[in-house]
Order: sequence, then structure tokens, then C-alpha cells
Amino acid sequence: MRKLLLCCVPFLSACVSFRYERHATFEPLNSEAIGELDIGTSGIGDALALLGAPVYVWEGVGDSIVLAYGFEHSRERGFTISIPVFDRSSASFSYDDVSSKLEGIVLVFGPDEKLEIVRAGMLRDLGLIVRRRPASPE
Amino acid sequence: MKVQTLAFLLLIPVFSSCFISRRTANEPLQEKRMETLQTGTSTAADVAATLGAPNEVVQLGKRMAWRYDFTNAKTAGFTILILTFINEDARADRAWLFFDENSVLQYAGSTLEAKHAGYAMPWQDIHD
Repeated sequence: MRKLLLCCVPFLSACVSFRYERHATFEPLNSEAIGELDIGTSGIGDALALLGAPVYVWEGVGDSIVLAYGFEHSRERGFTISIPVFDRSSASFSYDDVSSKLEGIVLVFGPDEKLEIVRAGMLRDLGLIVRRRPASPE
Repeated sequence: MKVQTLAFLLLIPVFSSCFISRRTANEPLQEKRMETLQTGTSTAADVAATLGAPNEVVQLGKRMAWRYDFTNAKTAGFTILILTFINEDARADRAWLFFDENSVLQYAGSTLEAKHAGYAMPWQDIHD
């Protein structure tokens, strides 16, 4: 009986665990709506009407405006072995925190506010998620 | 017999546990208030008076864009001994308002999904 209890100790204290997790963040993009955007003719208003509000907006190079749409749907499974020493959680939700996990599209609009570039993939791989400092006042 | 019963009762909470949690960030967006804003006429001051302070302001040359968002994340799961199953579903209300160099509303786009967040197990597809 004592041996059995000793064998159970690591499991009862959650040192070893098998986890199966699924995370969904934001709605998947509408591929049909993306297909309706035309390079050279579609404007920012068209993108907002077709795809809704982007996750990120920032100023691109040469007076361009960049809109990024993204979502995450992931499944993770695996064993974890851990010894909890200190744990702290926050109830906040940060758009900066989720940026590395989102896949989606980036739309670049030129100075004339017409669509110039469309890129799809993991937003972090697109290399465009950069918190730019605002332009200095003239 | 009493010892065995006591031991069994003590072990019950260890063998299984389930949980749900909900976390939100910011205030829900008011669709009716947003509908009162008109592109071409509403100013940044009108927007601030109607929707309050934005969560983010992005400078776009001489123009700017404001973001309003509300996030609703629901997590459900359970643990049996060493097995843990967790599902998290985070949806958001989000609006971006673009202003021209005169601070007049030029474009507005909104996505209202926060109410669609749901509790589920990892193998359930509640949005399909």
C-alpha cells in the first residue's frame, strides 16, 4: 500500500501530465472576400467593407498604410513534466502578445490608398509586425 | 472500513476536476453608437464623444487611425489524473476608424464577434 502511494505521488501533484489543448483566437478569414480585392483598384474602404476591422494597422514605407488580418486555430498535445515554483497570471488580453501566433494576410495600400501588395502567411513570418514610432510633426 | 472510506473520499477531488473561466478586456463596443458616426462629416472629437477614448492611436503620416476593441475569451477543460484537456475560444469586437489630415472620419470598419465565444471541449467544433 505504501509503495503504491509513493508511486502515485508524482502524478497526484501534477508533476507529470499529458495535455491536449485547442486555442482559437478571432474568426478565420473569408477567402472569398479576400479574392474580391484587386491590386491597383481596391481601396482601404473596400478592404474594411469586405473583411471588417483588421487586427493591426500601421504606417508603411513611403506613406503607405498597412492592414493586417489574422487568426489562430491551433491544437497542441504532449507530455509535460514540471515542478511549479511560482505562478502568476493576468486577466488582460494584449494584441502584442497574440501577434506571434496569428496567421492571415497583410494588405499594403500606397499613397493613393489603392491596394499594392497582398501577402499571406504567419504574420510574424511576414516580418511586417513592427511597432513604428509615429512620424515626427512637421 | 472507516479508513478506506475516508481515503476514498479524500481521493475524489484528486481524480477528476473540471473548470471553466472567462476573461474579458475592455468594454463591449456599442453598435448603435457606432452607426451614428458618418464618414466625411464626423470628426475625431465626435468619435471621442460617442465612443470614448480609443484603445490605440496609430499615426499614419498626417492622418491617424483609432482602434476600439473588446475581447471575450472562454476557457473550458478538465483533468483526470495526469490527463488535461483545455479549450480556449477568444473572439473580439473590434473597430478601426481612419481620419484624414483634418481629423475627419474617412473610413470605418468593424468586426463584432465577441458574443460568439463559447465553451467547448478541444474535440468540439462549435463554430462550424
